Amino acid sequence: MSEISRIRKSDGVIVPEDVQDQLLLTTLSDDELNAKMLEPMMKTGPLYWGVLAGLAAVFFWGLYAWAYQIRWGFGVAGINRPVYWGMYISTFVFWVGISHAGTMISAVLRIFKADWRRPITRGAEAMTAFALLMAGLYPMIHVGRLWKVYWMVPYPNNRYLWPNFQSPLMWDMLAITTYLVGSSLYLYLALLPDLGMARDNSKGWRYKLYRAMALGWRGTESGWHKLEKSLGIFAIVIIPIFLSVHSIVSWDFAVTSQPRWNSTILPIFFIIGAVFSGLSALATILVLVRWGMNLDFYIRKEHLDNVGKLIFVAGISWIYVWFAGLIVEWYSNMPVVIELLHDEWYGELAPLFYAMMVLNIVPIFFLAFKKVRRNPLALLILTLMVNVGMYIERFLIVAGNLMRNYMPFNWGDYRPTWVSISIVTMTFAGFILFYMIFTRVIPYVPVWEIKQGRLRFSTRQVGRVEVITITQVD
Amino acid sequence: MDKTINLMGLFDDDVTTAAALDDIYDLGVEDDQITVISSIPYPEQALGREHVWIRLPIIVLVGAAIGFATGFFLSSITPRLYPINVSGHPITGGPPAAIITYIFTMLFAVIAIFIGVLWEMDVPGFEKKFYDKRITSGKLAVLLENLPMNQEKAAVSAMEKNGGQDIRRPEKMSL
Repeated sequence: MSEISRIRKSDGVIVPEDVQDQLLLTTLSDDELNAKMLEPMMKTGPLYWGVLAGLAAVFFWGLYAWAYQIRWGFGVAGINRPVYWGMYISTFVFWVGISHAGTMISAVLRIFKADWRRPITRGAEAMTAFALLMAGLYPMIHVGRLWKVYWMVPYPNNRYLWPNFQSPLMWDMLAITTYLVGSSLYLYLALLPDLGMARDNSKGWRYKLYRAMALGWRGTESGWHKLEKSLGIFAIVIIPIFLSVHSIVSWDFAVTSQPRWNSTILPIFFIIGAVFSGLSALATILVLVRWGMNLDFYIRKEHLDNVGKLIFVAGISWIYVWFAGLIVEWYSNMPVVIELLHDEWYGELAPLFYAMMVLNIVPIFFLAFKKVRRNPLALLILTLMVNVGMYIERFLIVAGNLMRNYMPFNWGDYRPTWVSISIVTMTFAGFILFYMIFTRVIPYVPVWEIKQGRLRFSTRQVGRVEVITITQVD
Repeated sequence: MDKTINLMGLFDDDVTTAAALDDIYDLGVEDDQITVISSIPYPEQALGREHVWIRLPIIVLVGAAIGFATGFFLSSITPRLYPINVSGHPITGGPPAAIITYIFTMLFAVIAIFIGVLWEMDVPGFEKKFYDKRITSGKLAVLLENLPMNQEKAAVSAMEKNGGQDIRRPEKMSL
């Protein structure tokens, strides 16, 4: 309590910092709240356009690399036996993992009525949608002969071909499509009222765009009731989808007989890892968007603090699940599994392994401290470390574990080529590019949810201190 | 038959709006003649309105059922039409069929939620409607439609008594 700055009102009542800073106690008018969201969207300086141009250049270079790969064959990506899945599948798993945080923040916290989620849900949902778009590219990249992808669609044909529904890759395609469709529709539905607000406060091409997207939204009482009902149902339905998607992705590995893959703990390991990396990516994005768009009025230290707490919990869980998987593998004493473990601890994968451990575990220690979580720069650095650490983790699981198998004559190494690096970088650039465009075209903060949250929040005096009171209004 | 008119008034907050609605109900105005438009959702019945039953949960269940049937058909029936023998697995395996059936159930459920809510809300609707841009500035609008002309004065008085502003016969505008 002594570390928290307090102000003392003239009547002697103490107002703690968390009450002073509470977004949902703001007394700004609705017009001012609208303006605080719409004005940053209109402001784009040379830095914004320069970054956008650079990202577009990287993205188009990646498309060129993809065309090169289609022309010269999959070998130019460095894929060869025994490492049949390299950077592409590692990055695929990474992107699917990133997408999980959006649903966590948006759906899970909506069900629990955690009001601090309000200003960050849309950013989280957008992160989910764009991450899934990038993830969805990888099966098409990895199939090599892209023009044959339509063979996965079940329709009667004269080749007598039919999809193998017992293949985990088929489950992957369907699960990711379902999650992408669900997340996008969830994002769009919750956006309707703010599109109406933007429509009423804009001109020119923006007015036309928002008018088309708002679908004639007015805000009638029955309209609100139906929208809220649909968002509640969506939140409940999308949670099992998000749990199942990464389970299905993990089964791509777990249903094989590859050492260290064939494990029942893999779905849980993947989901926990996804939540850990996804929340870290979300925190990184929030700090950058807050800085880039001057949204510190909406995205406050309390929100960064709460996301930091979730990352801390996810990180601790990740350590536990990682160890739970390790102890079983180590205890089996199977030669090839021990060989893989020694590769990670003492062999050629050791630099990556120890980098992963440092980058994942050190931030968890620091995130235990409130001062660190409330410091945007510290949070940015720590979550970037986790993002890199978790990417390395996926690489070690996918490519690292393929280097050894039950046939020693079939052991080998993997070296990514300029083609695979370019294509992977393309998806990172594409994600940031789409996200940056999104922040300037769509209201980033759900202003209607902030205004609704104000209905619930008030203060009252307890002893000498003013405390926040949250009312149950629904 | 009495000629009917439309009336709209703006209010600053939910308390005055609810009070105005109580007085309007006392005039004998039917619930389906009243529309309240706001920039945020208010708790159901906070403004004294009747509970509205919606069909969305049923639409979602129907969508999920269609998805279940589609997934079951694709995963359990079609492989028998186009058998693929893979590693001695049965032609239709239980666990994979469960996964495919589950995925299609959820896919059709989410699509049903989206289409269902748009249908229930009667959007998209780009025709001209009664609206006021000041609603996004925080005002609540009470719209009375098809009000008999002989009730106009009483309705205006009910709104004015409770702080209603700019009470007028509105014109439809493009949204």
